[in-house]
Amino acid sequence: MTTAGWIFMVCSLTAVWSLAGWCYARVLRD
Amino acid sequence: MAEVKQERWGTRLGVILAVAGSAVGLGNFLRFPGTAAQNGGGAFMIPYFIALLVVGIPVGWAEWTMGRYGGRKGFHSSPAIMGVIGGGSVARYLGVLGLLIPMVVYMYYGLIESWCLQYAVAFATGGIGLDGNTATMAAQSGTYFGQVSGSAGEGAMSAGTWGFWLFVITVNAYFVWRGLSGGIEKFCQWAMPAMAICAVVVLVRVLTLGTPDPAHPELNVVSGLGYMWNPRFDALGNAETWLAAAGQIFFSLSVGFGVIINYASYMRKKDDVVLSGLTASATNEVFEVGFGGLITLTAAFVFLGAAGATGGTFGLGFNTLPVVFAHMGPVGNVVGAVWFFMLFLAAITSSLSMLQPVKAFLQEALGWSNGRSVIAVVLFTAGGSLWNLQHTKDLVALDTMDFWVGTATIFVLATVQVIYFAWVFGIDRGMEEAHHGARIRIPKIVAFVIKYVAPTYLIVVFAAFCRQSLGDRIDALVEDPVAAQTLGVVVFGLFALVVATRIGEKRWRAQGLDLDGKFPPDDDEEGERR
Repeated sequence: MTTAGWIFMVCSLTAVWSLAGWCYARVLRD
Repeated sequence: MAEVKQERWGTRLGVILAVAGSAVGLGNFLRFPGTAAQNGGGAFMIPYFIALLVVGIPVGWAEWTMGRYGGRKGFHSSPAIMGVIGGGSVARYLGVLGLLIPMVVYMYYGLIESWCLQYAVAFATGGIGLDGNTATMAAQSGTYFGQVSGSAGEGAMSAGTWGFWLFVITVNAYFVWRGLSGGIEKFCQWAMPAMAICAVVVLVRVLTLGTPDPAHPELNVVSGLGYMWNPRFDALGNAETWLAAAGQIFFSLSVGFGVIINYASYMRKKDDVVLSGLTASATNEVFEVGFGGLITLTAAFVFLGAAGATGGTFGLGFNTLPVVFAHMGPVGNVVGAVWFFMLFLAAITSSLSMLQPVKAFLQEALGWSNGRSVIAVVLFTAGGSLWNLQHTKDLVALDTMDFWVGTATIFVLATVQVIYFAWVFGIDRGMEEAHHGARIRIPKIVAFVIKYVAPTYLIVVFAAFCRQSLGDRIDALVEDPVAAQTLGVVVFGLFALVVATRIGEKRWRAQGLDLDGKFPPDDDEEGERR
C-alpha cells in the first residue's frame, strides 16, 4: 500500500468515525 | 384518521437506528468496495464525500422535514404527505412512487434476504461444500449460488430456498404487525448493535490474516488494503467516476425511497430531525466506509489476488466470498456464518422499512385495521416475489425490477421530492420547519444547496445514467418476454396503488382533512405552548 493509500484510508475512516462519534455523543447527551 | 391508532416512535435513538437500519444493506458491504476500487480507489473518496455533502445529507434533511410535517397534518403515507407539501393532486399522485418503490423492491429484496440466511445457516452447519483448488471451489461456489437463487433455469432453485423465503416473509410480517415502536424499533435497537458486533468480528479476522500463503508473499493484508485504497487520480478526470460516486451515495442513504418520509411522519413538532437525520447518515457511512471499505476486497485479495477481487454485488458476495471463507480453513465456516448473518440483519432492517410505508398507506387510505393491512401487503408483495421465484433464469425478473424501480424510479422520486420541497413548499419555510425542535443548526449554505445544487446534480446524474443504461434496458424489454412481463407486474402494482390513492383522496375529503396543505398544522399553537 502506498503512502497516499494510507492517507486516504486513514482520513476517510477518521472522517466517518468522527462524524458518527460526534453525532451519537450529542444524541445521547440530550 | 380517527379510526387509525396513532403510532409513535418510542425514543429518538430508536428512530435513528430504524432509519440507519433501512439505509444499511448489502450495498454497504458489497457494492461500495467494488465501485470504489473500479473508480480510482482512495481517490474515489473525493467525489464520494462531495456527493454526501451536496446530495446525501441535504436531501435527507428535506425528506425528514417533509415527513414530520405530513405527520403533523395527520398523514403518514407518501401520496398524502406529498399532496400536503406540493399543495395538490399532481404531487399526491407523484407521491405514489414513494409506495411503489418500497413495495416492488421488497418483492425481490426479501428473496436476497432469504439467500443470506440460507448461506449463514449453511456455514454454521459445516459450510457449503467447497473443496479442491481455487478454480474448483469457484466453480462449486457458482453452482451452489445457482441452486440457491435458481439462476440456472426458470424456477430452478432448491427446496430450501422456498423454506427460507417463507420464514423470512413471516418474520417480516410479524415485526411489521407488532407495530412501529413494539416491532420495528425494538428489532432495530437489537439488530443494529448485533450487526456492528458481527462486522467487528469479521474485520478483526480479516485484518489479522497476515500472509496466509508463504509462496505468495505479495498477497497479504496490507496489499489487500492497498488494492482498495491506493488512489488513482486520473480517475477524477473521468465523468463516470463522479457518476458512480453520486449513485453510490444516493442508493446507500436510501433518499428518495419513500421510507424516510414515512418514518419521520411519526415524529412530533418538538422532535429533532436535523441531528437525527445526520446521525442516521453517519451510521450508514460507518458501516459502508468503516466496515465495507476494509473487509470485503481485502479478504478477497489476500486469497484470490487482484483477479479474484472483482465482481458485482452478487458475484462478490455469493460467489467470491464463500471461496475466501473456504481458504480460511475450519474457522472460515464461523467467519462465513457471522458474515452472512450480518448481511441478513442488514437486509431485514431494510426490508421492514419497505413494508411499513405500504401498511401505513392502506390503513390511512382505505381505513383498514393494522392486521388487515399487514395481511394485504404481505399477500400482494408475496405475489410479486412468487413471480420472481418462478422466473429465476439469469435473475432477469429480479434485475428488471431492480433497474426500473429500485434504481431509475428512485432518481425520479428524489428529484420530485427535492423540487417540491424547495420550490413549492418553499425553501425558507422548509428550513424553518426543519429547525423546529432541532438540536443543531443547519448551515445557511444548505438552503442554497437544496434549492439549486441538489436538483441540478440529480437531474445531471439521472440524465447521464439514462444515457448510459436506458438504451440497453429498452432493448432487453423488447427482446426478453420475461423482462417485459416483469415490467407489467410493476405497472399493475402502480395501477393498484393509484386506485387506492384515489379512494383515499375521496375519504380524506369526506373527513374534512386538509389534504392540499392549505392551512398550518393543528399542533402549531399547541407546539408553541409546549
